[in-house]
Amino acid sequence: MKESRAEKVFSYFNIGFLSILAIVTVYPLIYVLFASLSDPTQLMSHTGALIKPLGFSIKAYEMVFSFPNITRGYINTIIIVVGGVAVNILMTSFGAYFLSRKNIFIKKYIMLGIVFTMFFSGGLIPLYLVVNGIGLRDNLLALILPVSINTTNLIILRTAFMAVPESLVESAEMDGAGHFTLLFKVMIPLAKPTVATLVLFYAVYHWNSWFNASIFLQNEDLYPLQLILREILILGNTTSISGGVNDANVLGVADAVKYSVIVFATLPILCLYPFLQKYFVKGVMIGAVKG
Amino acid sequence: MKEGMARKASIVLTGLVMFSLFGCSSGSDKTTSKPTDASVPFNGSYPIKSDVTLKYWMILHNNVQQVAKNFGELPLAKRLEEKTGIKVKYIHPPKGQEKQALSVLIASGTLPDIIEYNWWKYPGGPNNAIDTGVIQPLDKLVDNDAPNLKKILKDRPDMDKMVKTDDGHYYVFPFLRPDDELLTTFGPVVRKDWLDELNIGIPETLDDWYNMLTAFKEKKKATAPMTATTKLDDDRNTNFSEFIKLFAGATNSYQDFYIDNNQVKFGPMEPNRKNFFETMAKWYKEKLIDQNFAQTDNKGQDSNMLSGKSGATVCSGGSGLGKWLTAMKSKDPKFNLVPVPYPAAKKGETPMFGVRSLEYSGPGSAAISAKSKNADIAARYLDYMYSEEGHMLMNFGFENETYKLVDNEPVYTDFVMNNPEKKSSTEVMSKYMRGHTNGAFVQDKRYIEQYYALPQQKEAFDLWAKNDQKKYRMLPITPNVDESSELSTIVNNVNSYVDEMTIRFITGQDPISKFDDYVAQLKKLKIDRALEIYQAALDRYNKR
Amino acid sequence: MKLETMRPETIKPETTAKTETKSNTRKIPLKKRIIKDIIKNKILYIMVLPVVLYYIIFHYVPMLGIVIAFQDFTPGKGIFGSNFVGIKNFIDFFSDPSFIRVLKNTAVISISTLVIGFPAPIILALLLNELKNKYFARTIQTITYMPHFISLVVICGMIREFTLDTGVINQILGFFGWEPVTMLNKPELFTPIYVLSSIWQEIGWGSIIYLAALAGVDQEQYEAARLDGAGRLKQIFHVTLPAIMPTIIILLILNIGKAFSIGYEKIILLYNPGIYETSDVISTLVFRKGLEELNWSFSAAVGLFNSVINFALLITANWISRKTNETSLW
Repeated sequence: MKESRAEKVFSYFNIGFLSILAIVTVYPLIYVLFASLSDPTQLMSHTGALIKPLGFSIKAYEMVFSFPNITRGYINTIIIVVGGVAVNILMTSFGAYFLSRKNIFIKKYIMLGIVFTMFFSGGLIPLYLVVNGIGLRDNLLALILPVSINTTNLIILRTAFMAVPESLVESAEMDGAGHFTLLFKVMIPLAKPTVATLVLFYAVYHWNSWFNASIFLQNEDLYPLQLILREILILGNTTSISGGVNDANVLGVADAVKYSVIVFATLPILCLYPFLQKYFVKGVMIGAVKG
Repeated sequence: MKEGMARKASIVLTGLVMFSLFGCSSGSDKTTSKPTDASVPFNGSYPIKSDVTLKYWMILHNNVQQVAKNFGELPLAKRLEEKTGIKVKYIHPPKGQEKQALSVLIASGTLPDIIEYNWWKYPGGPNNAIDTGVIQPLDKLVDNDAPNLKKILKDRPDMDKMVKTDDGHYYVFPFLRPDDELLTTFGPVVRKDWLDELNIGIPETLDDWYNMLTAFKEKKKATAPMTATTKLDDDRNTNFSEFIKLFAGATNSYQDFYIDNNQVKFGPMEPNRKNFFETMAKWYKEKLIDQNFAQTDNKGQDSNMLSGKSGATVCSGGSGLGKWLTAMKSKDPKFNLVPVPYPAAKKGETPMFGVRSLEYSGPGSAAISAKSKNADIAARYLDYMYSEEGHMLMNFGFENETYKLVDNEPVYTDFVMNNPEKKSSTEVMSKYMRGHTNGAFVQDKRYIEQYYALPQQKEAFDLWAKNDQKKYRMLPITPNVDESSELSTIVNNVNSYVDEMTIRFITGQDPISKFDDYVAQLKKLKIDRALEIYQAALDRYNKR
Repeated sequence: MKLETMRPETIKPETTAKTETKSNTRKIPLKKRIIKDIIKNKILYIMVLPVVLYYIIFHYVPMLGIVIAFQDFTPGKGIFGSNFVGIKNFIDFFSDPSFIRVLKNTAVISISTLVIGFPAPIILALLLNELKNKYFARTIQTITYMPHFISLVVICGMIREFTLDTGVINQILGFFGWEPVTMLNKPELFTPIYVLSSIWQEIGWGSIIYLAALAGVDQEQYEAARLDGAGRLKQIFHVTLPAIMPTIIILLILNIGKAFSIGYEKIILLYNPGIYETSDVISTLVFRKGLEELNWSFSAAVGLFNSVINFALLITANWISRKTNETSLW
């Protein structure tokens, strides 16, 4: 196939535009990386853009590593992410499957009831009382069960399920497939890009969330990574690195710590996306299911 | 059936929750503190024999958090247990979530025995915390179980007045700072090396400052001759630039409520404020003030001061002056900062205002929860911190380890000041004492005299105290419970309007000629009613 | 959302289902029909049971807490012990001196965000989709999604530095004869800064969901379009866009339903009292008045007000969508 001249121009324009966009959007990340590797005192007196680390120092990373509890936090977070995503995907697909079926009488009301919860909530204290009441306080399940389903994600998945051709469903039913088989053998494989997206959304959500942990957990040993890192961030912002005698060795490290915390907290989850990208390849699934 | 089931399930669950709610609220209705009069007054001898484990809720101080995740892990906590004979389990809220965490604990009725907090920040104030059955009045406990605290307060009636509620109840074991040295830790600093180079003396008046800043701008090419942070101020909850505090004295115009001759006044609406705005607007236009002052944060202030963009600022002795001097020691040996007094209107005058905290300002003060079954033990435990021995432990740590007595005066050892393992003094102190942080004890000025090690830091106190702030300061007066919500609404509206207009006047977005409209708007926001409430509270306070 | 182009009739299952339902209800009484339905689809109902339980336990039971909007809630008294004050909290909010201003600012910022911010990731997704070199496409995707992960505090710190009178943006604009100015001191620049920086941070992340939708578009459609002589632009409008339209519409409805809830976190990191005029929104007002002092009741009342507006917007948007293109949430 030949491209017209206009199409060529468009192609070049497109590549150029996206490259610029990539440079502009990647800059914050580079800035953070450079700042985290900079010499703390030099960083303190610097303003404006960074095009390379100022000096070189890994003192900030050492400080983050030496913070009590940090390894424990990593382990907790991994447990929460893995367990949480499993619960999320299972529950969300159950809900989405139900809501994508036709001829279910009360479906409309359930959907309304679910959407309603996106807008109205009783706030923190009643939720705490419920979590406390069913004995989940100081338990990692308190960070998983109360957020089993994100309604937006449920709706997204339902939209994906609804787009599955009726003919495929019917032929599967003819072969005697029950609802569970339909869900796991037809719907989910067909909606793979969307499911992959939801895995990403949920994993990132669990990875980043700290608020529920700060309310539902009193035992420092259960704290997820983000809560600990957040504490370090706040410490960095407010600590009077206090000009007492002999404080020179921690001087001004606060700012660099802030940036190294971000690198520390972001890198692992950043790696998830390229891994999931393989599910985004166009048009592969159709053949797979048909055949 | 499905809906029916759902309904049933929801009824069951609702019942469950209601039960737990009622359970807690009925519990907290029985606010009467457990009578302790059955026991004989406490004779003050430690250790106490008790198998109770107290629960102690405490905001872990930033400095401490860097060395331990729980207070109980510190050598200090172990020493306290040994000395008092009482086991304590410490509970800490996550950083940044302190208020939320405490509210949830209170609302769910699962309060620990001791709660160390700033009870002025409780909605409606300490009075309300007692009324709603969160904490208990401590009058009886102070009388019977806290001989040490009782003695301290008897010796200092001014502080005694501060730590009581309006109706005269004790409610906390307070964090007290009895000496001026501990209360004056914030003030102006300037680049001494620039002054010397330009042959300018230490600025004393508003005109001196003007000339100095102009010289900085023209001769030193300072792009922001004077800078200061703008941040969420603890008490005002709004963005507030600190340089505004600097010239309050020189223009006799304070930035907040103050007391003049037993009369409560609101500085931003006094006529003098107009001169202040005029002067600042002129300076801003001439680029003597950081053009970005409305959003300069700590980092911005650091870089302005360290990179020579600014030659003057206001800051605290530790995290400003001390930090910058130490940072530049190796990089630029000429770099020198000195503290200077708050400027006056005319030479030789004493400025009306400066910055000075109160002897009792709220934070780090330990209350006992209304439902605590161990109120008397808790009181005895807390009172230890106010004893001779406890006082030394809290401020200086372990004798012969972290301090030695030289001529009966405590002196920090090299273990603290020049740690053999190269640990910072703050880090070491955080493990063995609380003197450099806060909490339920009396802070000792001999700590800060040693902790502020640089000569410039030591000088700062005398210079920054050269003003009459103490005379005009706002006292810890508390409005009635029913007035407090009205007051806080007014004060909130007024403060955010004042903040907005202050910046608009200074940056020239609104001309000074609008000053009368501004005052009129303040009246519309019911500032007079707020003054009335404060005045009544002050009159009650004076009668305490 | 994929494959629908193959069989266009399957896009609208909702509508068919609905008409059927209606005709059936008229014949059989409600209760009987539900029971019949449950018996017929037993397994399906078992499947949905945990979902329903989840919503009841963690959403509907705590929803009782809404009552505190009508109370003078103090934590010490609990939800059932606090005094009821009727609609006092709402009146306090409506009679606040800056109520009109925050309402206006909220509307301006949210509409700008919706109008400019909503299409941006769709356009990015379409442009990425047009790239021939898949490695390049993947790289760009991965890069543009990264800023989403950087905390707001840092992003806002950077925005503040870049917009200073000496900052990068002023320097660049200086080439075009722009007079350097501290941009965040200018009330009229706040909304553009807020909206554009949000796009800067979220465009890549937002495009993921559309990329997932695009992955499902049937390639044969393009083949057919090409045989008909359609150029690339035509293909975008006649094949690609219609294919991901249900996703776009559903997300648009959901976004409209969130329009009035601009969070305070980003704004308090960017604004200063000098530009309250354009930057003070409902949530920042509540932050200053309510959250910092933990005035739960006031916050709850404002939250409820926000929810009602948002819910109304969502229902309207959904209704319009159902009337015009038959895509609907329920």
